[in-house]
Amino acid sequence: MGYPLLLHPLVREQDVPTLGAQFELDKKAQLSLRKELVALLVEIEREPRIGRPMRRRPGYEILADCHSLTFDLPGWRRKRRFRIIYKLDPSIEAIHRVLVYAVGPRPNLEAYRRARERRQAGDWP
Amino acid sequence: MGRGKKRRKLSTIQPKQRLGTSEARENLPKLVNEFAEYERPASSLASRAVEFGPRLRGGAWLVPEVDAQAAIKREQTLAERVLELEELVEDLTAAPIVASRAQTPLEEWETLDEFAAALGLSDVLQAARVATTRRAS
Repeated sequence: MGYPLLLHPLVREQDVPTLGAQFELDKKAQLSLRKELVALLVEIEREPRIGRPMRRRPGYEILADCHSLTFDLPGWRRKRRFRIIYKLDPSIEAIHRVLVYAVGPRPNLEAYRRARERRQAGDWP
Repeated sequence: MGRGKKRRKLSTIQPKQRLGTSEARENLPKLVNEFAEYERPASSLASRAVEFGPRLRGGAWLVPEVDAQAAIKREQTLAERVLELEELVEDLTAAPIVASRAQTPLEEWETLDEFAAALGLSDVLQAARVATTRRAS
C-alpha cells in the first residue's frame, strides 16, 4: 500500500450505481467496469501521479492538486469513456493522502455548457 | 437508385480546374512540373487542386505536395487543439463536483477497503493489490 485513499460517500451511493448506464452497458459489462475501477483505485493508491494533473486556472483554484484518470472496459480500443477525479491532498502533516471525489462518464461540450451556467449563476462555491 | 450505382457525395468545395481523364493523362507531366515548382503552401487544399474524372464528373484530385503536407499539418494541429479543449472541458466540469463534495467532512468518507466490501468486490481488491505488489517488486 502507498498512500491512504478515501472515497467520497457519493462515489458508491450515486456514481457507481449509474456507471455505464449512460452507454447502456448491460449488467455484466457494468460489473466488469466496477472491477476495472477497483483495480485502478489500487494503482492510484500505490502511485497517485498516474493521472493527468488538472490545470489551475483563475477561478478554478479548487482543482489544485486534482488529477483525472480515464478508464474503460478491458479490451475497449476507442477513446476511454469514464474518468476518476481525485486529489492528492497534502493536508495531513507530512503525509499525502488521496481523496477520490467522483467517478463517472467523461463530459462532452453539453456538460461544459451546464457547468459554466452553474458557475455564472454562483451555484457552486 | 435502383441501378446499383454508388451516388457520389458532392463536396461544396470544388477545385477551379476540372479535367476529363484523357485530358488529365495528357496534361499530367505539365501539371506535375508546375506543382513541383510550388514552395509555399496555399491556404486551402482545394485552391490549386485539379479535379479529374470521367466525363468531367470528377472523382479524383491532383494537388501540389506542399499543399497536401500543409493540410496534413493543419489536421494534426486541429487534433491537438481538440484534445486540449477536451481536457479543458473535463477540468471545468470537474470543478463544481469537487467544490460541492469537498464540503463533506472527512469522517464520512470511506476507505478503499470499505468501498470494495460494500460493492462485494473485496476479492477483486485483494487480487489487484497482490498483482500491484508483484509488479512493483
